[in-house]
Amino acid sequence: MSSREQLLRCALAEVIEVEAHDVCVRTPFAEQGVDSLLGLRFVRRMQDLLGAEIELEWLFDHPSIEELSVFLDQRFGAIGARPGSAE
Amino acid sequence: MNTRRGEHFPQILARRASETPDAIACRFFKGPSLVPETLTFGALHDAAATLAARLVAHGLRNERVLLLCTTQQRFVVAFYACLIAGAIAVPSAPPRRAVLHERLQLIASDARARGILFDADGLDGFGDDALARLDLRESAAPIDPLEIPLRCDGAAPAFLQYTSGSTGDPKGVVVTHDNLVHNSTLIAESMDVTAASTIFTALPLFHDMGLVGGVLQMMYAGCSAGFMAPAEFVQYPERWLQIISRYRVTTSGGPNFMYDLAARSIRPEQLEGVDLASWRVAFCGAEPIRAATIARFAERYAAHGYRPEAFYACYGMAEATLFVAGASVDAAPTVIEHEHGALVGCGTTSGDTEIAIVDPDTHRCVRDGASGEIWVRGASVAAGYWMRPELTARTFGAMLDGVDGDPWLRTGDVGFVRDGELFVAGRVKDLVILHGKKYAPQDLEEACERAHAALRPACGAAFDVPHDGGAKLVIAFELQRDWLRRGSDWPEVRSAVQSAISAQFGVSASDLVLLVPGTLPRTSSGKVRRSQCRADYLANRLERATPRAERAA
Repeated sequence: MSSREQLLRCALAEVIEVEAHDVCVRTPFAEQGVDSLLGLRFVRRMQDLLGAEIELEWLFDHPSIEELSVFLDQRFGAIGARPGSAE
Repeated sequence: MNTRRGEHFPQILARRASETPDAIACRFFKGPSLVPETLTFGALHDAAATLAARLVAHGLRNERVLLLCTTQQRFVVAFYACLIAGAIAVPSAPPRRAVLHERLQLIASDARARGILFDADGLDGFGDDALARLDLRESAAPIDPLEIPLRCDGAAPAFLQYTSGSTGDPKGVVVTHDNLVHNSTLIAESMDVTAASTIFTALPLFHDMGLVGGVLQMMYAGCSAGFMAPAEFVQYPERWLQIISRYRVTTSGGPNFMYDLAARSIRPEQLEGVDLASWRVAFCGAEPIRAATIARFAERYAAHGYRPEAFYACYGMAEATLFVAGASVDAAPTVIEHEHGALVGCGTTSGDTEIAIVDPDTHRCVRDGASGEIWVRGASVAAGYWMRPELTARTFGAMLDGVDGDPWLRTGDVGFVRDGELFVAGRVKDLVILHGKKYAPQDLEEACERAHAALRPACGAAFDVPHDGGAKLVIAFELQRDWLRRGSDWPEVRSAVQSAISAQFGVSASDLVLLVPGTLPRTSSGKVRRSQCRADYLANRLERATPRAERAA
């Protein structure tokens, strides 16, 4: 799992109130119970962690952690040796 | 006195602009600085009157005009421009995705829209050639501001409020200029809003609560209002309380979920120095008010000066412009134990608004204290649904059996009056009827959620479906997230639920559908749409949870 994926998995786990290892990186966000409200909460958490502006639309266009990570890596560059969990 | 006899909102705007042109009407908040863009009454008047002149020049007087703004500044100016020009605004959410585009198309054709005011890409090609398009981002050719007339026709439609309803069948409530002034008076008197008040709202401005309760109430009372986008509130709920503290806000609120989110998701360090003592009316309505949420919020923020008496439960709907009944200012909420669980009282009506509690089948008033459908009448009740004479007659023209007099609005809500206070307990048409016996779906749902912790509280729907000439019961419930992957334990959940409803009601569910969290159909204000659940169930469109052995790598 890439650093980006680990980071997003922790962020999503916090928002949907489960343990990080219960979040699946391939399952679409919607199937993990992410509705529009939780989607916005997830975006905020990512912004806090990444220090960059994230758009809600990206969750629809890249609907899993795996896909979103690839997109974010392309846009912002891969996260190097940074630890996966920011907390 | 807030207004003078014969004044409607165009005239109130003109008077505010002439009496207090430099007073701040609006503060628009965006981003972490909490330093707003401001708009004075004078500047709002000038911008709105100029845009109104353009609307008239486009032939849009008395025509329906879609209002689709991505910024709240443009929305406020454009809405007042429509009022001044006599154009009938049709406020709507700017469509972000294809599915919303379809809904917008349905609204546009139902309203017979002739113009569109917008400020985002992607709407240039919307509608046909007959639709006048005004892009609010473009600077238009200079035009003299429209002079605001001394009077306007109070019975004329001021705007159309499209209600959630079912997705494919939008209904536009016709709200008149008289309705707006009347309901604004009720709100100001009931919530004690004056020129000394400060309003803040993070509600959508294209819906009644943000529009009538914020955009219009600020003008009516002559006070200032702060605005923040709903999405920003969901992401940064701490800003709600920070703004109340910094700008000494007196009047602010929203549906139950806002209080719930603020009570759960704000970290203590985000509220350093926040003082909520100025917050006099924390109103709450539009979806069921949960006593536990209020208590949690009050307890959490007591240390910041929040007073439990600030909580102000209210009841209303677009068909009555907005406000029907509300609690007393400075009084703690009334919470009673009822068969549906704890209920929070929504206070009383005021002014000429009347309510009756009516048996929905016989159209006779129920005995004192009993439950029935809530009927409403008074000058805030809207003129009807746009171009829907039959539906309007059914909904707005109800008569009590054997009683002459003015007609009533059927709200479809079930409630009762106890000690003079209104309690709302559910919806009429959602009744589950099995073998001729009626069950409130809320009762069944409550029993289910108590039966097993795997079910998300308040996230279920009980409904009946046709079966063999009669009906059978179906229950759909969202799972708690941490139960999604515990498929092997689901049989135990089902059996606990079946035992509970069998023991309490003597019924059994022919199907218990476990749903992915967040997928239960709801209205935009959060009410469970049981009839939509039924339709989705019959069409096999519910988002059933599927057992998942797979775990994250």
